[in-house]
Amino acid sequence: MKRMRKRGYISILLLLAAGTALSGCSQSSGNGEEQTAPGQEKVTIKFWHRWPESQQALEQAIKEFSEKYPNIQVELPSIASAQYPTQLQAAVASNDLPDIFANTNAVPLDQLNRLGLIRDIDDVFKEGQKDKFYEGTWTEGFTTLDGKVYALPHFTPRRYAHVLYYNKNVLKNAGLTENDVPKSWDDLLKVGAKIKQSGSDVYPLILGIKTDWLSNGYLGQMGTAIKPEVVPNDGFNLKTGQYEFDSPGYVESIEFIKKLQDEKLLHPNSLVIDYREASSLFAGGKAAFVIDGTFLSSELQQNNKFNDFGVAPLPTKDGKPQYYAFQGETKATLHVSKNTKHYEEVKLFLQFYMDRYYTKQLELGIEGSPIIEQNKTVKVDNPPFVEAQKIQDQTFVLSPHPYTRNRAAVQVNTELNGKKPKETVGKILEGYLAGQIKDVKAQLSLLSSGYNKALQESIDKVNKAGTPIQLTDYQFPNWVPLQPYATDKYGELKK
Amino acid sequence: MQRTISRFVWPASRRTRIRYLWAYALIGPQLLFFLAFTVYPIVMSYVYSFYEWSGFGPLEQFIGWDNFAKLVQEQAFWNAFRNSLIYMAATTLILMPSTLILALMLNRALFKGKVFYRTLYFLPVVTTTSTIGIVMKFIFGNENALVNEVLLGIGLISKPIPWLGQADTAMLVLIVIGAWKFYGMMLVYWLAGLQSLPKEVFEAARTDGANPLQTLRFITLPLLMPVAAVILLLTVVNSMHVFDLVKTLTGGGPFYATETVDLYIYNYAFSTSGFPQIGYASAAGIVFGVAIFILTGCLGLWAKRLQQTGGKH
Repeated sequence: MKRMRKRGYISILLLLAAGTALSGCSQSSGNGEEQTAPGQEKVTIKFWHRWPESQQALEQAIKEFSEKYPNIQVELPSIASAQYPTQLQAAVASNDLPDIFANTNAVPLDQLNRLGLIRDIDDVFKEGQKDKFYEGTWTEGFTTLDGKVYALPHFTPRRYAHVLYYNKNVLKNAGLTENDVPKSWDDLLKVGAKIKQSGSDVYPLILGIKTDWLSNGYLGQMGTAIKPEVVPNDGFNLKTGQYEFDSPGYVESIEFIKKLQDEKLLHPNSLVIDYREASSLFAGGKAAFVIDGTFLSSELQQNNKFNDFGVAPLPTKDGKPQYYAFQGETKATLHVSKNTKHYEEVKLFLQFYMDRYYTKQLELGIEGSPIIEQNKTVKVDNPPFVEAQKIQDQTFVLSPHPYTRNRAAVQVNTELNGKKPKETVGKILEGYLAGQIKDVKAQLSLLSSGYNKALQESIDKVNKAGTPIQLTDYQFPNWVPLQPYATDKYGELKK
Repeated sequence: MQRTISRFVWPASRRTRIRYLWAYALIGPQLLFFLAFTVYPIVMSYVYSFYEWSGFGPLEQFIGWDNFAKLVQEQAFWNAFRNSLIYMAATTLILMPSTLILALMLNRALFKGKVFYRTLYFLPVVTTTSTIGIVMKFIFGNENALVNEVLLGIGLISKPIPWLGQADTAMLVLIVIGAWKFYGMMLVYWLAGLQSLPKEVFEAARTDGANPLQTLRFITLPLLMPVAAVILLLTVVNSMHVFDLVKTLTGGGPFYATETVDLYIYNYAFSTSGFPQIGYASAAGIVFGVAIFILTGCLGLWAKRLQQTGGKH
């Protein structure tokens, strides 16, 4: 019995000893890493992103990079876009951010910087290299803070425009040609009636209304043909300095979709599906047209293996011109962790990135480059992609942004986060089509007042904290919608 | 008093002491996990609810009861609360009687193919809920979807019904599928309850000449009441926490018509297109948790009373 007891003690001691030894091991390995000299021994840099469409191009670019720099390994895990903010939250909480990581709406640039999580990357750029990017790329609060670059664009910042995709086979079966692709709402109604006659289960238009962020965009973009003062990006009237979701632009666009539904020209599944289900049904020949972002082009080719489609500008009321505002907001960017131990290697990688990844994504028909010259010189044998890029380029117009006018607007935006109503124009469209909302204008007015109240409260809070900013900083009387708002225009406002 | 003290006396024998040590050593890891992954998150959600926090950076903005004040004024929260209650009440009303009747049938010794039917009804329980949600979305679709095709085929309807595109029908479909998913589980609960009833009472009833209906009315049902109360409790708690089915089947739509509280919390805490509001979502979780606690507490008390009176039968 005594022996058994002894054995028991011994086994506990052994367990404890093993535990201590294991923790000792982990410590020693940590010390070992710190001793590694950058650039001489094998180094691994971690890179997190949230763009599934870029995965293939990134893998190819990283492979080329590893061949050029065999001592630098780039780890690129595949992260589901929806999980990305949560994963980043966990990394921040455990102080374990990857060396390079993609931005997310969940944590704006200003907040990342104030939390001491990112570092400036000014020295990544060679002399004059920054000037090769699109005008407006280096905007305070989006890519730069106090003049220093903190975010490197991943795609062209003039992304994404909303376009109309047409299925060539469906058009052919209905006896139509590419010349019949609608330019105005009336055209769509006329062409739609012909398509509806051609087959019982084929509809003129399909939308993935469950994806409300996409609906927000195309409703706003179509709305600019009716009321151009309201920018489609966020429903803000840059003349009055107020959110105006109840502008005729939004109201009439929503009512037009309702009309399509009433006249059975909108695929009935539209209300219950998301944008990818909609594009799959479109590729499957169930609809002649689908409205989506310019990024759908590569999605259809890569995932749906579908090539018989064309791209056209969105049809608008009376066929009037439309636009999407480029206000310096680069939606897809990369940050470098402040705690990176391998900044020299990261720099090499980012330089390679600008030279090679940007062109690779063009070659593969994924998205345009942030560098103007590359978009002109790289040969791309992909007609729908080229057409989509052309339309995108025409759609984006450099427009004013309060960030550039008063730096305090960045703080106001950080304050605004979480205070804006959770409601969206896309959700209101869903409610209107489902018959739950009877008065769409009243619902949109409610949304506008919620946004305006939150904006005013945030401005007041920033003012109280000692940084002066007024609502007038959000008004741009010298702006002419649809005309580029160059940097010198901000100067005129000061006079 | 003496009894209470004697519980904490360190065992006299060394052998017993070692056995105690081993017992604690063995439950230790589980206890640690329980503290780390159950107790700690619950405590922290109470802490978060008093902060304005997006999940990034330290907890700095203490805002007192503001999240709770905003929550009780939020129409969308009460809409989600109402939806959760409707779903809970409807699934419970469908499930309680229907599963009992089927369990009574399956419990009869003469019934053939019992095991087959039990397995058949249990299949949805073991199927992943999100998979069911996605598949059902197509079955209850508008065009080229099974349900509408069948109804059109037999002439019950003249045009397809947008099942998930209308507020009322979307909730109806959600309830029916939710009930179907939990049907097998309820059946197992009832069967376990039925099989635990004392056989002697039924034999005595048969000897006394009671017919099956009388046996059911005066013996089976009264004896089952304590079990029924527990089953009711489990059904209520389960249906109040419906999440994955709503997320995949309707996404809470159309226009929040099927958004339940769990989905509402998720949308605020893990919003991917906007800004996550962990503090506010925690406050919503706490209010809802307290509501469920009160509801189940009342049901628990009722179940206890039934168990006491049931024992006297």
